Amino acid sequence: MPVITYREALRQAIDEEMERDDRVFLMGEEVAEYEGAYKVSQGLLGKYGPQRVIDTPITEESFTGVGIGAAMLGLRPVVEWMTVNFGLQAMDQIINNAAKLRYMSGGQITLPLVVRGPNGPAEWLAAQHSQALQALFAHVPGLKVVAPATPADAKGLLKSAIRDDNPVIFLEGELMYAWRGEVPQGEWLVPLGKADVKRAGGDVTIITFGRPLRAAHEAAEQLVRQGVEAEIIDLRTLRPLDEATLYASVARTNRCVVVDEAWPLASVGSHVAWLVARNCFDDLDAPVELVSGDDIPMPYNHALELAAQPSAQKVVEAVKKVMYL
Amino acid sequence: MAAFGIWCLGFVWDLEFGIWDFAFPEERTVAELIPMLALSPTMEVATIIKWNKAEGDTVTAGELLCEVETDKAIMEYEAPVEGKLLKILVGDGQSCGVGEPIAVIGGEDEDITALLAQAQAKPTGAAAATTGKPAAAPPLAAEQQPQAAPLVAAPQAAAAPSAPIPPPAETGRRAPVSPVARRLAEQAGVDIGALRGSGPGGRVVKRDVEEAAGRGAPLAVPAGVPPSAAAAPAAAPAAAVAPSPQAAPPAALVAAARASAAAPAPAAPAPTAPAPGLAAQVAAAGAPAEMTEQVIPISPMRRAIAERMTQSKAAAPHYYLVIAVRMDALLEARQRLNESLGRKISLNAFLLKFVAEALARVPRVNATWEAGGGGGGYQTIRQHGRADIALAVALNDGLIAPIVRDCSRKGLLAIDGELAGLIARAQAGQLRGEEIENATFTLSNLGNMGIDQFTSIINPPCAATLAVGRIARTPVIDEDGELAVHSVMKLTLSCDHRVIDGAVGAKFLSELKALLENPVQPALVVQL
Amino acid sequence: MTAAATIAQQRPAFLAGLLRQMLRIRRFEEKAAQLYGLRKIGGFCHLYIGQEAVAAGAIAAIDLSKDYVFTAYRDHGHALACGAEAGAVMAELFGKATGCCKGKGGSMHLFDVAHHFFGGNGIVGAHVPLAAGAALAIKYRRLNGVVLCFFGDGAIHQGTFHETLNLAKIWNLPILFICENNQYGMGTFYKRVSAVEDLSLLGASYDIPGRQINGMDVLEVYREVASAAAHARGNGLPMLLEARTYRYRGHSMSDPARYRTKEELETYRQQDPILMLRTVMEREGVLDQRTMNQLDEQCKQEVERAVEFAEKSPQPALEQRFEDVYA
Repeated sequence: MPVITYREALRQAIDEEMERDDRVFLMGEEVAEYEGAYKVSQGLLGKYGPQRVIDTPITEESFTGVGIGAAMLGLRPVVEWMTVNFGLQAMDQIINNAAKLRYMSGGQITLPLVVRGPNGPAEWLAAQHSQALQALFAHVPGLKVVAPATPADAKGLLKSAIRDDNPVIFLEGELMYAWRGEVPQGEWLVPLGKADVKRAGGDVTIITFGRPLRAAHEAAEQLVRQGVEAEIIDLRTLRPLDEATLYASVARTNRCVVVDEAWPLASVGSHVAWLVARNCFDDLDAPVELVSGDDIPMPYNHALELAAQPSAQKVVEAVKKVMYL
Repeated sequence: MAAFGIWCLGFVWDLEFGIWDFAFPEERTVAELIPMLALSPTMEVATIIKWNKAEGDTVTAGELLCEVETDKAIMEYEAPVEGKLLKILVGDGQSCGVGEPIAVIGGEDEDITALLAQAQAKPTGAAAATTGKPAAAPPLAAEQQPQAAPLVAAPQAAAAPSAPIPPPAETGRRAPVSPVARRLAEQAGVDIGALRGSGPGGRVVKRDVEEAAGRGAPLAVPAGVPPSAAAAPAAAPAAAVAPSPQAAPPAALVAAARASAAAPAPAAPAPTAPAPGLAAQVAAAGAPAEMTEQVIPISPMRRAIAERMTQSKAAAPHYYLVIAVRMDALLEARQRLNESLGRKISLNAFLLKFVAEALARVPRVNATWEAGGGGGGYQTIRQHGRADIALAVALNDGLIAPIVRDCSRKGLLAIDGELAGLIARAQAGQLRGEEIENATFTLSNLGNMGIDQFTSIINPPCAATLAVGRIARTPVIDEDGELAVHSVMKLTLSCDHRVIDGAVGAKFLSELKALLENPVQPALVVQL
Repeated sequence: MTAAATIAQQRPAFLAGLLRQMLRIRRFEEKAAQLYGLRKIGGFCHLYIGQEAVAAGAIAAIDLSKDYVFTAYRDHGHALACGAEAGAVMAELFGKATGCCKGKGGSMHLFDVAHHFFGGNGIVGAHVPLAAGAALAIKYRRLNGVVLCFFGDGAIHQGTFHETLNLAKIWNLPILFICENNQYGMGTFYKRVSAVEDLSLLGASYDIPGRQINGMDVLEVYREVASAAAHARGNGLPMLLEARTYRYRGHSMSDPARYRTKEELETYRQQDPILMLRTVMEREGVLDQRTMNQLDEQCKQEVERAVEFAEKSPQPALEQRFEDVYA
């Protein structure tokens, strides 16, 4: 199986879907002539032309709204936000229009829309460009929210998202675009709403998604030396949540650590931790631990910003706590 | 474009052409009652400040009809229809509730007598509403089940925890136990109280139970399952993919998870969404014709009943006492009295008179809980110096409880006469405010409806209400052990426990029973 | 045969159609006001009385088999003009299961996708880019349609309006922006909050031509929209029309509209759009009192039937609240 980058996996997904369905088009800042701020759309303008790979002015609110309007009439837009931080300008369109038009119209409107872009901390960018905002979207019924952590999931989930008839917020990561991994060629679909057991183990369940998956894997390697086998579950889709996979694992391991790089208050991670505590109460040997980002805006200084994020060491410490080690 | 210009030329506006009267009174053949509208979201009652139209004036839709003062502001009421203002029902300075008619608009010379009668028949006409006070409505909705009276105020002892965990002897505190450790200990028959916990604060955790049960052998939960087993349950529930509401029971998911934890199992069944309401709608459509759905507007009386009953049931801790009274002697005495007077004295008159006597003997039942209007918030009980007894009277849609004042100082005949007058005027909707306000005790009698016994909601500001059932011929074991048939009536007293304790209520009922069963004794004090 | 000649031939029926549409909206709104007062209708309820000529004239000028309509929350008139059933709209105001949105949208969020009416949007200005998106889809699929995007003098200062005008121009979208200037953004007179008094100038920065039209004159609205729609449709030339109009009622049902004078209201009542068309038709000899009364009676009866339908319709079943969240 070919080993390619996360960025190339996304490009393959968009390319294959545009080739397969001429209602699919890509729109956003710098997606066409510049070939993407993170080069996800490299080569697509040349292949599909300016009608299907559309450069926009810097108007997140309005081009996101245009994407929603086009989807209302049956097109399948892929709207790229250069980063999710800039997408905050379009939150009214996402929360009040994308998530609600189907409901308020009593099911008359269908919105096959994907809005995608990098989310989460990057490096040396400080607070406005380095933040994990998934909870804002996961909070809203009517949206689906996806956060792949591997190149294979990135391709398979993006293809599924483009084919989904609902508005999907697709969260990538600036620091993940260069990650490499095996990715199946051609038709490869990963269903939305399905978590994935990325590592099997019987002593503790580590639940995570997105970039911290790597820290979870490093932690699991360290824990092996202490005789602890950790099971790692990658949520992959944050809404709808695949609760069953979590409960099945915790019922076996009796211990649970949730890792989410967002701030801790009202985060996806804190919600998952509550779900497990409530629904696996009689299976738990220790309170569920949450490893989150620090509850501060991201500092610019590199040492400070690293200290503010989940790390393998923080995950190991949390596992030791639930294992009473 | 040019073509448009040409044909549009013929339609150039000429404003001096004149203003059309946009009303067609000659076309309107059906006069209608114009209701007061809610002109603010919270408005219940409003006052008409000023009519801008007089009776006989022509009005057009949208034209200012009158100015209305709501709870918020002075608002303009625009005519909803055009026609002639035939009648003003609520005049300048008068008030009315939302939905009540304020005027009639219709065609010239239309006969509106039927409409006016309809307007009058409304529970609260414009005239009644000018008092600005909704009619006090009585209580006494019959309840389906009598409730046990909380005679003992002390709370029940909390149930003992089901898990047998004796506290460690040395500390006297119960050791914390993790949920899974508790479950495993039960399954393995380990006495968790005998364990010393190795977790934080001495918490007994899974490994402590495992060590106790079999020197560290894992219990029930196999550690380190192969990846395929771990992945298997993940493939199961499609329900997690579907947008299931948070309310969907997670229990099924948990149960499935636990089942697959013990032994990797095939796909767990997905919880199914509730069936859509279409079936219910189809069923509703096929319902019998007489069961048509109706939206019934709330009359001021209905609103007053709803508010007062809800308030009473919520604020006053109710309890209920039931007593059976043999009525043979009283019925006989009444019979003789009727014969000697040549007219019938109502049973209710007897009841009012004897209740008044019992109230005099147990005055705490004739009382009111007062929250205290002053800033200090003092709460007091007002024990009344008079027995002002209300009797619930059923109306067409609603009920009302007129009051016979000072029953202990009035003779039976006076009470009977007064009662007859009050009931007649209640049914005619002619009671005055002072005739229904501030009772000290209330009586509700559903005996003539065949009800054996029932409980009532206390009619504020009373502290107790007596519910009277029918007089039934009932087999009774006499004091001498013989089976006999008596006329028995059941009385149920609803008491406000803030005012009347169980023993006090019981004392009142037993006094009342004694009076009713031995009418000769009270007859001595009954001035005819 | 030219389009104008066709219209000229059909003139009496065509004019009667416009008159009837405006009357229908007015009678519907008058009834809605009354039912709101009787608490049959809840929430915010923004009435269209006084502005009927804009929706009736503009929507009559397009072809809803390929064209689309978007508007804001003062939307009852547009929904009716697009062909929504009065009963389904009234039932929606009542929150009933038979409402056009199954009782989930209400007054501000009416939709009738089958008639190409896409709402019904409660956030001021937020539907403007949606309308441009629909225009983009038309162009993308070469459908030869046009989008009418209605909004008020309040929405015109939202950033997304200006962003969307720019997008419409750089992409040559087939869209007409129709500002219904009813003079007041809620309680604020539009001149107090606008740098320019002529709102049609606001397209100039984006090279979009603007035009002020008399929004009380249904024939002028019809003519101007038909002309602008032809340009937008064929050449992808978006245009901004400012329809000068007036609402007789407050912003919503709880607004007593104390910020304006009686004289001002009366001035506009004298240019009532229904009255103006009726005057012309009578002068042209194509309308008499009897026909007028018949038309009005038909509209009243239609509204009465709508109310009866709404009254008798069932409430949505409680479990239906979980439906229509996802496709």
